[in-house]
Amino acid sequence: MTQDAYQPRIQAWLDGEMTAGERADFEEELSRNPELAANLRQTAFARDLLRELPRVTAPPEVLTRVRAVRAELTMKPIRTFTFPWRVVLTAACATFIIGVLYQTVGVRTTQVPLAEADRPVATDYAVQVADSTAALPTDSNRTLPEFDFTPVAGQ
Amino acid sequence: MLRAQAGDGLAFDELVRRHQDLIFNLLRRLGVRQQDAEDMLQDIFIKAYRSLQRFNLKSAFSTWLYSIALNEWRSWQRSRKRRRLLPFLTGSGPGDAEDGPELEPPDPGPGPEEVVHRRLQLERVEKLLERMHPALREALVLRDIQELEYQEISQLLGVPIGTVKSRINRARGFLAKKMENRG
Repeated sequence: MTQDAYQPRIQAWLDGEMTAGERADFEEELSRNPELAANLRQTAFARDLLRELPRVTAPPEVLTRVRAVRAELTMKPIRTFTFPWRVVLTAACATFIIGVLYQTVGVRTTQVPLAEADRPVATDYAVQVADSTAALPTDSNRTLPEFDFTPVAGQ
Repeated sequence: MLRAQAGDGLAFDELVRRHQDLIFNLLRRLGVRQQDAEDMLQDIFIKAYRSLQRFNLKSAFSTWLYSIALNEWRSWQRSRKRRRLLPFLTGSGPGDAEDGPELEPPDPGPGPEEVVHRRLQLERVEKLLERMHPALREALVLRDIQELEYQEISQLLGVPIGTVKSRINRARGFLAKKMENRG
């Protein structure tokens, strides 16, 4: 068995994450498997060395520097509003692209034909004029309403 | 914490005082050089101060600071990678002081052999940590150096607990193997 295969159980044992039964089995195996025992020793040794590394302390001037920057920030009013350049630029670009597309593609596809190709516009117009004038009354057949011009008595 | 959120600067200073060593130790153990770690520590606390209103008190303040610190560390690493690539692009060779891992010089003073041996072992562990893959390193440092619970590490790294355990497992295996090879 390789060291990698042992590691999960070694780790669980070192971290105290084994149940009582698992722990007993593992410790029993340790007594008859020198390779596993050697791996456990090495891992525990490495972990102990890590824990033994001296604690490094921050130099005192760091606090002084933080304090100075903090004071500076407190003095300066914090900008709460920033102009949304990104949004404005995106909108402008989108408008430009839509405009270009409209000019190149949109106009051609949505354009309504003014007249059918095989029928001249003038013909249509002539027919329409003829139709519209036919129903109009002429002076000869126009009748005016009768009016009574007799003065009313007492006026 | 509440006082700091209400704008009490002195209360915030107290929070800095309480947590600065914790975060500084994390940064140094993650392999950040002393000067960079000092600058980063300052940035982390300033970032925390600026977004103090967004802290919702559901998690510990230290957990929140850890998450800011880990983000800072990741950006630092990205910029360091770019800096490392630069000499190859500009034609100058490697070997400047930035490249080598910074280690405290070993104490040459006389002492019991065992103490010296142990110190060398600790230095070797530090070097191995720096050589480790960043994803494994952060998980291992949070667990075995900062002594956080798996649940908290999972929350900080944004990965399931199973992944955290697997990373720590691989990291410990890597360290154990390398320490064994060296004796």
